[in-house]
Amino acid sequence: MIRFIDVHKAFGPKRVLDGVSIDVARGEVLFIIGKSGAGKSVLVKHLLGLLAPDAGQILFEGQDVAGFSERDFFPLRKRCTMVLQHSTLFDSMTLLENVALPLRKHQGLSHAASLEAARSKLQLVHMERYADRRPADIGDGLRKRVAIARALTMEPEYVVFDEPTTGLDPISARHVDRLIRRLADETSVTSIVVSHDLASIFGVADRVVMLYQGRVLLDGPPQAFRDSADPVVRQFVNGLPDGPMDI
Amino acid sequence: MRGLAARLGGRFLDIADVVGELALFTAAVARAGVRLRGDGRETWRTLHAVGVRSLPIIVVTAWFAGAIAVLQVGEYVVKYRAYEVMGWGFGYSVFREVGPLLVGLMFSGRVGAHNTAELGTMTVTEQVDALRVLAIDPIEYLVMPRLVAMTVMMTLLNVVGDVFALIGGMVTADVLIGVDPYVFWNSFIEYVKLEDFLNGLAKAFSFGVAVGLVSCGFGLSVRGGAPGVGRAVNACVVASAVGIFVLDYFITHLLR
Repeated sequence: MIRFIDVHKAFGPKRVLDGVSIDVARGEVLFIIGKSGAGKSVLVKHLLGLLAPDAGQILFEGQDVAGFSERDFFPLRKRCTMVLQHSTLFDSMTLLENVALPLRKHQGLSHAASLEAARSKLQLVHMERYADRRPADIGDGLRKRVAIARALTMEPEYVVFDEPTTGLDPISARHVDRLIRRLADETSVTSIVVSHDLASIFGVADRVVMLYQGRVLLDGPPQAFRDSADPVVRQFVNGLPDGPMDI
Repeated sequence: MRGLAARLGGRFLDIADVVGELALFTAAVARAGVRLRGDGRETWRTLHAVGVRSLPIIVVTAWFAGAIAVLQVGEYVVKYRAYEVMGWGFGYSVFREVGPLLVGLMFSGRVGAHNTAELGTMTVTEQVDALRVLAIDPIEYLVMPRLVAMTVMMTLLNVVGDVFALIGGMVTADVLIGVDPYVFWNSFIEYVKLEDFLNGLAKAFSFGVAVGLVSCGFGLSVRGGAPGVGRAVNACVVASAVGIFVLDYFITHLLR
């Protein structure tokens, strides 16, 4: 289980997180939503030590990671990994080498063996025919799929997806949604998905948390989000340019 | 007056920030070095990228540096008919000073700047964060291989530079000043000592470490997108050059 307890974070005078508390249960698909700049990515980056909170606790299976050093985070990151927003494949490597790298580093495989194992991981996301291409040679949707395959090489228990469908065409986006759902259903992987893609939210989420003005505005199943009478939530669900939400 | 004090104070804090960050970075690298952590495959790749691709520019630079050194002293050699000390004077200055200094500056401009740009781009495009979330330590995977490769290759390229500077100097002395290569070589062999060569090698080694640390440190601390990468490359070239001259002074002083 993961718990964010009263997490605060500011960048200069801008308060991004102002006392956020969220619990994430094992095996669930939790969507963290909100408008751009609401602090969604900032919040999840704290879990993996990419940012440090100003105050509050982040419990990973009972252990407070808020005071962890960089080295302390490495064992945690093998169990809980992240697919960053812009895929962030290593552009000096082929797609196959990208996926093979964590296999070689963490499973002690030789270079050749790691490439062989990586090929089968690419098959999971239907990317094997692009194996020898470089990230610059393929589109965003395909890059996202490779980034997911790379993250899954470590067989993590938790995966954080930062806007996995942003910028994708609807078909690629639904492919990614299906992959996230399958991970939860077939391998009990817990997914924390940062998103503002309504189709994804209503398609695969078990629970939705909406951040607004640095706090949790709503926490419940997708249906509660859809049925909410809160004017800010209504504006977000309906995608209205005018309303109470500050832009 | 207060504005000037504030600007000076701000500038001082900026410098302290950079120095502090580099010191912490050096400590992290030292810890990884003590644990002998790195990545063999990445080290080999970087050795090739750093060494083989730098070879042509080092050969050309060293050849002309040797030729220029001979041209500069040629007039006096002829005037005082000091042909038999030319090889010694040339070898002494190239081995101890001109060789490591020129190769070091070329190396920092070519390899150091490239390294900062590469790591800086990886930082601003979150590729370094991607390594971290895959539980791969950027110090061990990115920095240690580069530091080892740059130190080894700077030292080896200095040897290559010495050889080509010597050849360039000898050919120029023969063609333009009329110093017989046999006389030049004899003077060189007779008077230039092994310690002159080792002195230059020690400088090259330390320049390699300095350029490696500075270029990796500036690369991984880039902030602010593409302009930040540009600023980091600029800062790396300046800091490397200053570092090379300062190190040169202290090593020269220590190994007198």
